[in-house]
Amino acid sequence: MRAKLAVYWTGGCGGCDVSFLELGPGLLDVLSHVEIVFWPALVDAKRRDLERLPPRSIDFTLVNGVIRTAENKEMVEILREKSRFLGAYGACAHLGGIPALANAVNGVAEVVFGPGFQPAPPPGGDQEDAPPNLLPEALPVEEVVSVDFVVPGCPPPAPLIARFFAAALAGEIGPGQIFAEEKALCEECPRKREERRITRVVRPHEVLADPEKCLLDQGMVCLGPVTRGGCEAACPKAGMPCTGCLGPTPKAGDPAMAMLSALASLVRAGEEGENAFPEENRILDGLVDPIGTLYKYAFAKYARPLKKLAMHREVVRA
Amino acid sequence: MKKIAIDPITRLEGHGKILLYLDETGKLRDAVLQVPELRGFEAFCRGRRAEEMPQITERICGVCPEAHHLASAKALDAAFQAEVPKPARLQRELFYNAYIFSDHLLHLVFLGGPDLFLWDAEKEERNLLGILRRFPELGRKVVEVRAQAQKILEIIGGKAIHPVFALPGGVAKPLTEEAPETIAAAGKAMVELGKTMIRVFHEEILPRPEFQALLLSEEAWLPTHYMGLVDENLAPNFYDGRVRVVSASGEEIFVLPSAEALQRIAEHWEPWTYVKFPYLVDLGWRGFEAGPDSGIYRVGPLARLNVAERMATPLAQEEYERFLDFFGEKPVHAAFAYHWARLIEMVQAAETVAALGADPELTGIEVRGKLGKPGEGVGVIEAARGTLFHHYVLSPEGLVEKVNLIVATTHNAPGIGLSVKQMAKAVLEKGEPDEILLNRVEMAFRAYDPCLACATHFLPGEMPVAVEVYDAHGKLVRRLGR
Repeated sequence: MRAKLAVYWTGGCGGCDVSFLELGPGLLDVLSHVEIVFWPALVDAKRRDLERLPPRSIDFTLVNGVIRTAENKEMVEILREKSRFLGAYGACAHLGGIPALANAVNGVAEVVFGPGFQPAPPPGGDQEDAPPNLLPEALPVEEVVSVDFVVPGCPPPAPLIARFFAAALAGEIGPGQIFAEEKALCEECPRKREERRITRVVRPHEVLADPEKCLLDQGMVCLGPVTRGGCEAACPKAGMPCTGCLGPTPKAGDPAMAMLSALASLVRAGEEGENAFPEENRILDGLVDPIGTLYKYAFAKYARPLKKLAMHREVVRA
Repeated sequence: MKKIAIDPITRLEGHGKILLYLDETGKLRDAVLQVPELRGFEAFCRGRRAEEMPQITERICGVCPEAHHLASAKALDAAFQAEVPKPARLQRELFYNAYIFSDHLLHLVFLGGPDLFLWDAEKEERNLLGILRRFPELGRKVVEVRAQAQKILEIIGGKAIHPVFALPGGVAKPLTEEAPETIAAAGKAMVELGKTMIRVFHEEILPRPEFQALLLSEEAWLPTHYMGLVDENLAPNFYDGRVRVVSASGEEIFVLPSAEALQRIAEHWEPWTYVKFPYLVDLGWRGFEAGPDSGIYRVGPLARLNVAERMATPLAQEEYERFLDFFGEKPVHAAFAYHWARLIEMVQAAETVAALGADPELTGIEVRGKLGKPGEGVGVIEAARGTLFHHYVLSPEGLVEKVNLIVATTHNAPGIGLSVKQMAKAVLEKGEPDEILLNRVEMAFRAYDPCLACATHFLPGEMPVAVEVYDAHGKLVRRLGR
């Protein structure tokens, strides 16, 4: 019997939906082993068709996108009920992704809905025809329903997608499995790391990167040391620093904290003296936009607890 | 009153639903395509590093990340007053044409394609899998050649989906000496597939009387103005050129560089959807009405062919002439002509890839122009679905202060809404609609290949405009300022 598959996107860009095509002719093999029961980008099954399915009748559901609206939440809850396994597919579902950078904007909900603005139904329509409200924060899928596995990346690279399907079709998905390496991306990067020392922070448009040397050694903030491998270091190979889309290694945990700590130890490493701290501070001032740089995909997952903590402190102080 | 909801609408990029409101006799009273999604890029792009914008804004849309990536890079070129050296420009332009090919092919065969090849099939069959079952040879070929086109994107862009190569003033690195060989082989296969697709279109689709009836039907005929980029010969250019707008009767309204063209567009709002409705400032917003006096215009493949006087490459030109002969007049206002126009453009893109791939300067090492002080810049490009504007204001440190984006599907939102309404009206006149007839309503939006992810990147509160609420008779009942 063919495995029943559902793919759904919440607040996403569609790149995850398209990423399956990157399997190329391999996609045809996958399609011959699955039955697609729900996948709005590709087939014409509607929400009503999904609601009619018995509980746990879908073998694998892949949710991509961040949970941004009340409707996203509802749909994911329905999918959870109908699925045996439900996975977060791609950086938004896994970590919040780039759209969750909106969580760093103060009072987004106030900016969005402003005084007087309310989503409304079309003229003559019922209230239920109004577009759904935004949630106060964009959330990774695991904040809404339990997640059995993760296929990470922005979007997931083809070899990791293939790895997922191989495991799924063989019935070998481990609990909480993340389909990427546990080792850091640096392990698969062909660039040569020598200096392990930074004397200035360089932004990618300011220089033409040396094709052989480690980008961190060249002063670029490359998240390779704290990010999972699995993409064969695609960005560093293309001359651009890793920005962390596969998510942090288990060892790194919070990617921004881990990377800051790595940077702090690399800045003028080995130099001492009374001017050391001011000089290091001056260099680290070159790290502009730390949130966008270090939490590019992971702000919702990792900065959320911090934000809660900060709010809690304020309450305690008050 | 009765309501029919098509939820979600399917085989498109993004979230949408169609709501049909019927009167007591079952006739259509109103139809809307609602977009229930938004993410807020214009808000959270503020404070980001300028050079990150090509990588951030491409996450607006994973189907056309290449368009946002390069529109962003072009806005940054302008904001840093940088000249892009020839090898970098060649890399970008070749990459971009490979993307147009790939994106159009995806729609023609897998998203919109089922409406063309299998349009009266049951819904379980009316999809990619149905195509692969009924046209196995063509399906396999399409998958193979698309993989080759995607390889070009990967070689130049670093990644095929969400590329990383464009920077202000150029690209990240020179191409390797081996790259042109792979590109040439891919280019050749793309041109061949283009020829095959033209043949299949003329053998399998166009001769069918029911398709011709649909193509020329009144419900799919929508006279609007059109916008698109043209080169100096008035042929469509996807990567660069001037913005040309022609009227519903075919006269030129303006042809302008990007920054000036942007000032001739304004946006209207409704509270029942998260998409904006742009219109030409010269003509103003006159509600959801097409025609010569309305400010509503359309973009995308059909619009580009309507604003152009010719195609840029020989095979595309041949097919363009057959297209014009068929309709016998220009502009062509038929919504379903979007599919045919897409095919013609796909062939031009393939021929352009083949031509640029043979340019010896493609592997040149000068890939980055000198950057001036960060300031303000507008970038424009033709995404597969139509004209795309990125407009940034940068701080002296090169951080983003202000962002405004007008994307393809947003330009088309008024036109798509009108086409859906016309089609729904015609369908309901035939009586109680079944599932296959309701798909006709969806076919009306699908012709535009809309990308609702692109269209809903923004935050409503970001726009300094008022929201106007209309009642069922189009009478203004409420106006909400900011």
